[in-house]
Amino acid sequence: MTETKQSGGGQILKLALVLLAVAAVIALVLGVVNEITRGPIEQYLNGKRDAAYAMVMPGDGNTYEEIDAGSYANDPSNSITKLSAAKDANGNDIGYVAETTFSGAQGMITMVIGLDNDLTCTGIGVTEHSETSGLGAKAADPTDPFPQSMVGLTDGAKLSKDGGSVSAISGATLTSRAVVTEIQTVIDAVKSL
Amino acid sequence: MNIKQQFKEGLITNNPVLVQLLGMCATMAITTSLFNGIGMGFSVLIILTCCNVVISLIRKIIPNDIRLAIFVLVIAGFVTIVDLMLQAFIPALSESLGVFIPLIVVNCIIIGRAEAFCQKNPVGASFFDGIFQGLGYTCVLICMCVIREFLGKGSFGSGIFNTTNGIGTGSGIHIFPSEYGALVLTLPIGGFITLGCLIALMQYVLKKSEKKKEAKEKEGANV
Repeated sequence: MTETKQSGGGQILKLALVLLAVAAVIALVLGVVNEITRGPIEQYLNGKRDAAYAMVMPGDGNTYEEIDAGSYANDPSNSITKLSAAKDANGNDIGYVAETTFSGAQGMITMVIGLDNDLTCTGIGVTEHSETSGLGAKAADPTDPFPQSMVGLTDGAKLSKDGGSVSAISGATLTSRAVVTEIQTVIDAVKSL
Repeated sequence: MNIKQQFKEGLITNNPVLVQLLGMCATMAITTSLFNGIGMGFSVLIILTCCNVVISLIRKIIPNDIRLAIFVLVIAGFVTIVDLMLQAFIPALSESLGVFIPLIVVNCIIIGRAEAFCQKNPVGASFFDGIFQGLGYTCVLICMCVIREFLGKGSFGSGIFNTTNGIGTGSGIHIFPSEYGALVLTLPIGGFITLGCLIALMQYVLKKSEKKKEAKEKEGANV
């Protein structure tokens, strides 16, 4: 490799310009790709969220009305990103649906939680997570007993390890505890309305 | 350097994972199902080939002082393209590979090939280097996936076979019930064990073929 011994400014300017040119070309290409992919990605995420909503609040023609974030108590990390009041097709109140993002064992978990009018959990739907496959990831599998056992949880529910009655996923206490705690956070938020 | 030799190097004698020991992190993490392995393998193959070609094309105009910065820029660009494309068009794969797609940016196979090969070789050779090294990587991933999935979950090809709800959701062909699988093999520690065994096997095979070659040469010399 040839070591250029040109002193100072000119050489540095040349390096900066080359770097700038490469970065500009790449930025341009990425911009185009982003333009192409933005639509399908958004569509996919919306579809997933809608599926989670439908799972926790069964019934056709439900509508969801967002509740102002200032009017309920959130936890210190603001884990509830959106809380909505659910109404069925005839306009009756059927409960609440919360979109939440909180720390699991490995990373952030994004989950939809449903509550009925009596503040009983109607189900959970994990939309994004990075928990360990085979252990914590079971929380995101709707066919696993753990997410199914979330249905019917009420105020004050805890893992059996913490003195409650909920069985954790074996080998994934942290994930299980995070999920149950988050349900409690949503219950507290709805209570504070 | 001819294509045949490059092919042999990429897949066997200079395999990126088993011989160069590059890109270990993702290899351990994602080889839990065949779907992941194939997806990750081909993502790396595509990114590696594109980066090799581009870096080889611009190798003469990159100032030596900032070549690493430019390599990383090019790699990050292609990784982001593949990441966005997967999210948009194969979301199931993007989801099960998670953070390991963006992490291809720091996968040392790609920067390793850029530094060791592309900046000294013409475009054509770099292109084939990308394809063959990528294939070598994919083959190792597939081997590891098949072993870990079978011993850990008792299935073959999960995410690909028995699909119920679109690609990536299938439970695979069950050879024995998953309750009897050794869960440890699907965890990262199982990745280390499987990879260790594969590397040992590779070394054994390489040594053996070397000895054979030597013996042949001796024979040739005697005659």
